[in-house]
Amino acid sequence: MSAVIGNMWEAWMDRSIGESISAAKRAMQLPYLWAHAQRVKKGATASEEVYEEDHLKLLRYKSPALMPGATPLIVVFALVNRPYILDLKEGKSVIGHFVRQGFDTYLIDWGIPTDADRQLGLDDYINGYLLNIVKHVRERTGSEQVNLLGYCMGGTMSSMFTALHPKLVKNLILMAAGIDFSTREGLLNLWSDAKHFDVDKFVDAFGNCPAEYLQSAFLMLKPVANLIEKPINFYEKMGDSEFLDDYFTMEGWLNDNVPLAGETYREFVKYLYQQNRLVKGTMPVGRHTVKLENIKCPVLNIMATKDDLVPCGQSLPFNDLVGSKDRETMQFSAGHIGLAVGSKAQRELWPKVVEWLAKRSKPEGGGKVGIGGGW
Amino acid sequence: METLFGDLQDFMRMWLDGATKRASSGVMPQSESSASDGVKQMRDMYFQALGQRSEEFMRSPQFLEMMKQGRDAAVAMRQQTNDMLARAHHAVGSLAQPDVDSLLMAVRRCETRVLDKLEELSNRMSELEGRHEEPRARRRKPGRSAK
Repeated sequence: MSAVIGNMWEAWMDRSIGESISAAKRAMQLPYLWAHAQRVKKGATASEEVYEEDHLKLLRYKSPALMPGATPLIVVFALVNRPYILDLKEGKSVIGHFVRQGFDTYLIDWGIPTDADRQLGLDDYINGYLLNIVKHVRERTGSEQVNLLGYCMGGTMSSMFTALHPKLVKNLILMAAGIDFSTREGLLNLWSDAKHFDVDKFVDAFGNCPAEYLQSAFLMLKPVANLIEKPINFYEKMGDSEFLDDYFTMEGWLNDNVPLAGETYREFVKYLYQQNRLVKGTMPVGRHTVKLENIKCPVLNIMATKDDLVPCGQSLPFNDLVGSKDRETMQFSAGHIGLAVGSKAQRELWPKVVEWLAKRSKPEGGGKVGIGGGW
Repeated sequence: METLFGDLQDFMRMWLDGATKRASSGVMPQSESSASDGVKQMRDMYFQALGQRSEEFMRSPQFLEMMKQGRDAAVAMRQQTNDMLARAHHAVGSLAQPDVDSLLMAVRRCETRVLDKLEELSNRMSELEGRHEEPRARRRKPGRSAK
């Protein structure tokens, strides 16, 4: 009995001493944390700015060898965060996959709206900015059509654009895009319900939706993971340089929220979250109504099965609503952001997506779209 | 009293969940290293239970009502601030936010009318171009061979 107690005491002492040494090592890292955080870079792939309009910039990524004749790809991210999540760092870049394959790849940086932009609505973004970008890319590349890849809110907007301008889009890829907002699987859907949220009063009072408001809403989706587990995990691993690099890169982006133009926020919450108009075929964008059945091009619908921001149920109905014959779904085990930057997604998902697009991007017989190509 | 009892019940349910998960993790430390892993595993189970409970709470009518009241209060306070600032600006004879907004709205309405007209013209041109191309395409078709 005394031997057992003696062994337990010894084991406890060893663990205590080991943990004390680990804690001391972590404490020695403290002065270097700030410097480490400052070394974090945004973006991994070389790019150049090729177009700008108001706050918006269009970045073109330099490919070592362009695939001859392939349709250019425009990546459309959400309006509420910065888009460099899609080119976060070496080994965690969705853009990198397409560039290495030889796609002429463009990324829209929507910029940061000011108070003067509070009146910008979905019509301005979709039939204004996005249409101008598509026209610019068509002119500079000589391609009649473009490929669109939309992530999250960018996916919702890309689907609306394609439905309104079907002749301009050759292939459409959606990544964790909200389409059917009737599900109450996600907390955001519940919190945005008209019974609990008067979006008109909110926008009339605040103008643009503040970045801090959006950020706190995203944090509260997983309060234990974000506010308790994450700091503990950071404390335990702060001696690991590679962990620190990933952590600061990711946290830098997570805290880089931007405000959302007031009228766009109003329309998104009211027409999508509260009235679910997109699936009903009554979604107004300016003077036009979005009909998803007008989408005839090949579509690839990518969903993250552990996504608590845009649950699968919100994206899944898309393929049944479009008029395309070539429709495919990819469900991947990852979270909303892990779908883009997760190691597993980078290894297993994105090569398949690139292959899907490469098969469908070769030019066909050509044929003019017409003056202006739409409007 | 009923609310207090309800809160206590929720807390007990959360605690029992965490304890059940910890017990069911089946942790039996065999060596020094697995003991600390075991502790971490138990901790993770507890946090998982806590996370599930917090999600349930955030879906509850009490939380939703609390959130609504919080938002309404924030909106009301912001509106009061806006009104106060507008009055202050007008009192010294300068422009306030609502004045700038009215001007922006007027410009926007004008812009919308112009853009709508441009869109209409573009559609008409496309239509005309289509009509113009049709006879040309018919002329280009090979003639019927004589019988």
